[in-house]
Amino acid sequence: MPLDAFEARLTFIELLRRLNASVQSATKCAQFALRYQDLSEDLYSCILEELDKTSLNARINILYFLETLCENSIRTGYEEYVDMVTRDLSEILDKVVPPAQGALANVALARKALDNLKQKSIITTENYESAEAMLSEREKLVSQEEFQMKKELPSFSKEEILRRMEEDRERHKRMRENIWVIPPGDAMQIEFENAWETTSSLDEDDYEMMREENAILEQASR
Amino acid sequence: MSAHASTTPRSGSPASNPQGPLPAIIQLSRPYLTPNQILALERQVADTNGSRDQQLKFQAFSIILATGSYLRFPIRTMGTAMIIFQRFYLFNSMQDFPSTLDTALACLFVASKTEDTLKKLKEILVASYYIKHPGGPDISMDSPVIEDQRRRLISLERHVLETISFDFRVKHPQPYIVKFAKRLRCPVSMAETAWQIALDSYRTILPLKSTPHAIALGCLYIAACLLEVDISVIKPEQFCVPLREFENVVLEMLEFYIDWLPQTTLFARYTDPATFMSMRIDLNKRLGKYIEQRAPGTHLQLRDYAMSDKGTVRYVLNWERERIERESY
Repeated sequence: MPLDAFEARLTFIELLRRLNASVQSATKCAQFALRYQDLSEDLYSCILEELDKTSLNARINILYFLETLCENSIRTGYEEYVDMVTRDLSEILDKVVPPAQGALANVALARKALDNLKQKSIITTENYESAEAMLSEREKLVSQEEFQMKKELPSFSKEEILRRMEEDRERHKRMRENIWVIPPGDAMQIEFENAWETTSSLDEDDYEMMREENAILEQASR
Repeated sequence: MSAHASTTPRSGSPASNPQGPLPAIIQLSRPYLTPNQILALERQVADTNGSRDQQLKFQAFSIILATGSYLRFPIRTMGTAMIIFQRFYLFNSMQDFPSTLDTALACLFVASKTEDTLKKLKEILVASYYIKHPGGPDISMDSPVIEDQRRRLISLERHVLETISFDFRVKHPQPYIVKFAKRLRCPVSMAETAWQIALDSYRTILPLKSTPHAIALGCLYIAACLLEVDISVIKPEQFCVPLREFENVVLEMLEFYIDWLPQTTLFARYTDPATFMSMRIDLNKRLGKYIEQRAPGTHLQLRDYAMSDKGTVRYVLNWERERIERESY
């Protein structure tokens, strides 16, 4: 079902605006971007534009969406989006944590998203390090007095605050659920090496467990 | 685990017990089965096509491994799923549960819960869809196809849980492979090979018959033979493995490699079954003439899956617990 560039941009922007912390919304968006990959330049530019326009909360959602987009891109073998994100990493972070009031709220999450990108081998260690450096600089800047939230000029509405709390909880939950996930690469290799490093030596507790297990086995013959 | 249903009703009529009617049926979990029990169960399934069934099982294992790998599950999750799957088709016939694909996914779902690597059932179904249709049309978790499959699998899950008597204690050989390898001071390559062999062990019925540390030691032994490392240092009793059990594990793994080498992880490096045949000959030479008979164990029957509709079923992990609880009434 071919769409023309204009229609595609409109639809995509709509999807971006509907992004929240759920995996589903991010996946829908990513699937759209991959289905219309020949319009990737256009769709990608929408992302940068939205990052300029929307609220601080929405920018975090877009950043996390980019993680999903890159993961899905790698999986389907279309690397263009990954290249574009890697190339513009600093620019993206600059928009997510702008030199503006209230941006401090986004720093921790932006750093976590950056970590995830490195962990999943979406960006190289080099990219990570220069982006991290830039982020630290920005953090120092927005921690200063003049960038803190002023009581007389609320940046976030009550509704936005509540929604952001919900989304943060959702992201936390997802993070805990994914703690066991084996990172990309040769899974058997990774698991073996990890086990080799971390497994404790054979000790009396192990012998106790083995004897117990032998006893349970012995029960079977009764 | 499972299927020793005792139908002796407990004493105490509903009227005399203020807590309500006592369960009519007790099902004891059996983490390990004897070879005789397994044989008897296999015989109870009427009209089996042995080699076709084995192929279906291998296909199911491939699905479990591929889906698990897609979702980046640790190996213990896939291993548990394969163990549960084999147990399922010991106590239930393929006639009654013909879709081995559905069963495989249900087992993977249960395993993801018991191994603390939880994934929503729909995520597992979407993953298996992508494996079946690579590059196919996108599917989302709300699609009716997935919804349908989910409903089927939820009811199948109940049968799986009842078959394993809700006993989620599954232990794996991997930690023992590392611990034993380090104690033996053997080269890392030997431990790594043993790790691969352990993966293959999940395709056999061994995890239902032998302890995880016995399997681990067996894997190390075979790895040592393959890599021509001195095996005389491996003394099973020092690792809490009775000699006979150790020999059974090794012999069974060797049989498995001889019969099914192309379906195993070792096939990439060892393509000739003769390698394993000569290992078997060597081992047989070392065995004494005395062949210990393992006690046959209580006769077990196929699961009556309508059992929980007839009356309350109580699943018991072991009789010790049962006795302690009864004494507290």
